[in-house]
Amino acid sequence: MKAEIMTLMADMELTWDEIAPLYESYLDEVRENISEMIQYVQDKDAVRTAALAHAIKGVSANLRVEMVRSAASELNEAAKFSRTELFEHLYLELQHSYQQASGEVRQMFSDNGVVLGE
Amino acid sequence: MLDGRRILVVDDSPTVRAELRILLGKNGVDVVEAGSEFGMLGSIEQYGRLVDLIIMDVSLKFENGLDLVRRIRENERYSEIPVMILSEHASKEYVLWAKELGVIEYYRKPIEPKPFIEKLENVFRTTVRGD
Repeated sequence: MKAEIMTLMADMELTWDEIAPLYESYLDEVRENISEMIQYVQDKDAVRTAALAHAIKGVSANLRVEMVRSAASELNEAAKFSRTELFEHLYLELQHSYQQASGEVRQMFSDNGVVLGE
Repeated sequence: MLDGRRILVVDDSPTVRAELRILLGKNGVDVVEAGSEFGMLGSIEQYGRLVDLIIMDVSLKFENGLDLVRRIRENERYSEIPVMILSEHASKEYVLWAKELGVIEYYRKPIEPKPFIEKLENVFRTTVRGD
């Protein structure tokens, strides 16, 4: 993930300080979407689950956070085909991927002298 | 080519809007942002024809961006504002629908900064009014 993020920084001509607000926004946005999604997963609401999974997939692709993109993509596919029996498991996978990515991103910025806000 | 342009970005992701604000801002673009239909209509009312281009996401959380493009086209005051789609969805059906709505470019996410800026420069070079 670090190599991809550094490529994005280079392409956008940004420093760690300058790109930090983007990743703070990303971590907030995905956390909120995952939190909102739990109700739709429990209700087996495929349309809204797909919409949120798609949103997470898209923004994760943009910010080069592959592990979250991939988990969101699996849930999005399950939702598109109304595989509601898979929702809970894939939701937990997504939640786990987010937590792992969040830790890695924060560590990466910290290693480069930038502390991301909670 | 982009310096001094005003672009309205319609995307429900604050992160994508921030990314575009930074990327386009570095290229001299004045970025106006909206996260919903309501916000978009407010910005269009405010800036009207001073908007050189609208960059529209298709997959707004619970709205379809192409429906919003249709609403822009139906409003005679704003129907001439050029629209570029920025979306992960690039099915044949959507691309065709966008074409029917007069969309001038369909860029598939994720945003790759350099190709995206080149595409945008090309849009302004070939399509959007030069005044």
